[in-house]
Amino acid sequence: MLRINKLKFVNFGSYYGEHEISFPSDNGVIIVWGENGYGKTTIMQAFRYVLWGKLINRKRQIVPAFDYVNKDAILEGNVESMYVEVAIDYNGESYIVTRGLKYTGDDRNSPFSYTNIFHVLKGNTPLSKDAGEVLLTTILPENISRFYLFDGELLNEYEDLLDNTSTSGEKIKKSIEDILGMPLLLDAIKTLTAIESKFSSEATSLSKRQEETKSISEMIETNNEKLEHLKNSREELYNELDNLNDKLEDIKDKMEKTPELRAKLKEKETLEQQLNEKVEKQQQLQEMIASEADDLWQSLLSSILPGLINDINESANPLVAKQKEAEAYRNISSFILNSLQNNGEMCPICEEEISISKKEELIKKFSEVGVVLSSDEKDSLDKANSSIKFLNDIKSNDNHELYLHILNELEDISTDIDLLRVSIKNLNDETSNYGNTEELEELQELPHQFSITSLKIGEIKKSLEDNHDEIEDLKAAIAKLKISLSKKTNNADVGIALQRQDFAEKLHQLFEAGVSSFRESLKQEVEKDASSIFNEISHEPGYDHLEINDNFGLEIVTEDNRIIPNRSSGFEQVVAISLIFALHHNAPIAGPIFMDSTFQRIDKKHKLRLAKILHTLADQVVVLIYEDEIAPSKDDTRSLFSGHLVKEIEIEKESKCKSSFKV
Amino acid sequence: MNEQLNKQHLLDALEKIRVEKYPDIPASFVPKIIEIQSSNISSQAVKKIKEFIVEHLNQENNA
Repeated sequence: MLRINKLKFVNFGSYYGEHEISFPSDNGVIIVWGENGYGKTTIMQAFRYVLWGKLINRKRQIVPAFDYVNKDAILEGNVESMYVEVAIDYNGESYIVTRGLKYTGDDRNSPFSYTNIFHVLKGNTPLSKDAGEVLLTTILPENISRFYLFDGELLNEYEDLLDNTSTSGEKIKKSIEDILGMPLLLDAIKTLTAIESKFSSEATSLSKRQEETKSISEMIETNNEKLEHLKNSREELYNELDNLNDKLEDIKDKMEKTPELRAKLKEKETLEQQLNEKVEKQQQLQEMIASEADDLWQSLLSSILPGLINDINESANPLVAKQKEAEAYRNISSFILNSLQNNGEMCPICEEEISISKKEELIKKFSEVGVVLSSDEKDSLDKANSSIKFLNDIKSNDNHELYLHILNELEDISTDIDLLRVSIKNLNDETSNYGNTEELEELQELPHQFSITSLKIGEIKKSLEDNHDEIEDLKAAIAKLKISLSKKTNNADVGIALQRQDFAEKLHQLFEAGVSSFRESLKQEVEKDASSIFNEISHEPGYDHLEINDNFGLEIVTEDNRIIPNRSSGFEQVVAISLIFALHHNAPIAGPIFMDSTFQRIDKKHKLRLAKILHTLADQVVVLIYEDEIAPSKDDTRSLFSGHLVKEIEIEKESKCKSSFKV
Repeated sequence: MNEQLNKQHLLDALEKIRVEKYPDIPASFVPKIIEIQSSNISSQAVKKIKEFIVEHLNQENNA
């Protein structure tokens, strides 16, 4: 059993200089009073740091130890070291553990100017660093720290126990089984596996020397090697699965903590895509408008063109008429001449007889040129026709409507682009507070990473199933070979070796079967104790007991055997505390418990009931509270712990970085 | 108190299986293995439990 005697801080967190809490030898509750921000949680952090060398914030992220070097001490140039020292008793021995940072560089503001300090004294004898770390892992393994350093702000993680598919629930379940003593059974199984393997090697080695059993033992040996290989693969797969589950949990955690940010990033991504499309369209329109602008001058003439064409037509009209008259004269004279020459004595018009002399006279007359346009008149008419054609071409090339349409579209797109740029800039400003570009890109990638990791987990699980089947097949084959071996051998030593191996195998199987049986037994005990504590704390009529699931998650069950869905956050806290109580009642490891933010979410009646039974949780229960967290006054609170309150410590605060204890 | 209680739960769970499925394993074996395992580091536990099995089987064979 672990008992804490003294906790000393030097320049740790908000505690400037040296400060010490001594713990009474009597069992009971120790209250640490302190308003918000005074340094209550720092006490819990100090205990965590000195035992496991880790500092964790409320997002369960690891914080560098340098962040806990008192800032006033740095500013005033007084910090030579930052450390936490704890004096403990464990199984009849006294230990002093010291962990911290020593200033060894030339810049107190730089984390690189500090080196780690870690000492463990057993009585007056210093232990080696490795021996010290092993001792601390044995006294109180880090993976069960959540049950000794209880933070009411982190209770939501117990909710994951109700979800059978949750990886974080799986991890907490494992730590619950660890606190409940499962490692002893699992270690025994490992030991028996090793012994079985040793006996198996001995039996194979002996039987290989006998001619009649040589071939069978060689086959057993080969299969054993294959089995070993498969078991190693299984270990690797489990490790990989653990890592992937951790990764998935991390991704999920980040996704859950940044929904608004990720929504903004997604919106930004969509807007940027829209902007790119609009800019591309804008370029196309600008090219079109440049091309249309080459012919645009023609559009400017569109209003005067009909008048111009008309003027030219009018001035050319007499020439056109004259040209027509000449054309007509040419046609008539050509007809008459042709008729006179072909029809002899007849007039082609009146069809009367005409004399030869008259005919000659007529031929002479119609052979003359008649009406013709002068060359100047022809030139003028050609020019007029050419001008009219040119002006008509201009008229048909009028693109001003198309141009205006493109112009309008371009204007709309330019406005859209401006608006999109403003929106993107605003989103950039909003998201820049969350991190640099690289970090934000990583956040955007989270959903993709989540699906990839989930997929990989599925693949590993499938590989584990295949591996399990192969192992079982191989075991069955080895068992058959062993039966053949024992039938064939006449050697007494081989017989004894096989008997030992057989016995170790049975023991191994017995312990393997014990895992699920012990787990079931633990669950029943936890359910029973949690229900008992729950009924002591809860005053809700109709609530009967708690029901445990495979993950050690607890549901509230009513008197008419219904499970309460969507329970309130206050009841979440009561259920979680009931679980903590039950775990401590059943855990083989006993130690001091620090409780922070324990009463904040629960109502007055539950607070009073919880306070009254808190001393039953452990021999040393350190409760970190502010003045009216449980009852209206300190005296009221004290009376709740009547007979079990063994010490009170008050945190005083001179400034942001200067907290101290008033005992 | 808890340590003993917890160990007893474990022994009860294992004893139930021993009686049902492995009655030829002596009743004293399971508590002995748990005792050795809980008070020794891994390599020592392997050595001591192996010796215990050998000793038991030798006695059984001699009897």
